[in-house]
Amino acid sequence: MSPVINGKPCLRCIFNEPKNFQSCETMGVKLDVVESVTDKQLEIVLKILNKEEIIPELYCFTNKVEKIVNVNKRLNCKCCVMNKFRYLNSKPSIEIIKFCGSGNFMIKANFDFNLLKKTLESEIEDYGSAFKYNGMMIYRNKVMLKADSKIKAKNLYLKLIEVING
Amino acid sequence: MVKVFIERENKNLNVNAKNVVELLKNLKINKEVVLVVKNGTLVTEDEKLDSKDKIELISVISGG
Repeated sequence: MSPVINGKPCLRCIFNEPKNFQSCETMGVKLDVVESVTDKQLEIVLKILNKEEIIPELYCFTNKVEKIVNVNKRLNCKCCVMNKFRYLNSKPSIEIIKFCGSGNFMIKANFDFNLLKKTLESEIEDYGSAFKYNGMMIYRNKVMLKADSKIKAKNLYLKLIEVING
Repeated sequence: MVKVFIERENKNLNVNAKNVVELLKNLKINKEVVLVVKNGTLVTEDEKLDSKDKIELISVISGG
């Protein structure tokens, strides 16, 4: 947990590429950690209300102790330095089609095929008008991939195009 | 050799690494699932490491 303070490090400075994290769903929840987090949040809120200085620190609640880690602004932070707000500026106009009896999905969307191909150049199997990357087949205006659900398919697609949208 | 404490496993290790990327590679840990703390400060992937540094790897769990 870390307070986000104007002009100080943002969450993107800490978690540059937030993905593949374990979650409360997969790791479980320790009630004493919930209590510790809310205590700390309350303490910070009271400081803000009292106009006291808030230090940009990351509070880590582990199995054992609460740990405080100093955080610096990431020099090339896409969010607070480069002002690229991926989720605010994204255009999620995509169509997702599930194929019957399998976990295969086809996602129709407009993306810069050539730029994506060039960006991933070293990691793809190139078939000319299409390429394979990380188990996905990528064509102009569509992506074929495997996923457990429509939402997961969409997330995989969004993660894929993150490499060109930044 | 760099001394590393892996918080999740409560384990101390000595690892041969010159920077954070190399450290995580040698430990076979995905850089996206841990935070690397050097001498009490969060560091980025390109941070250089020294044998005198105290390194901690903290697992990230999202929620809330």
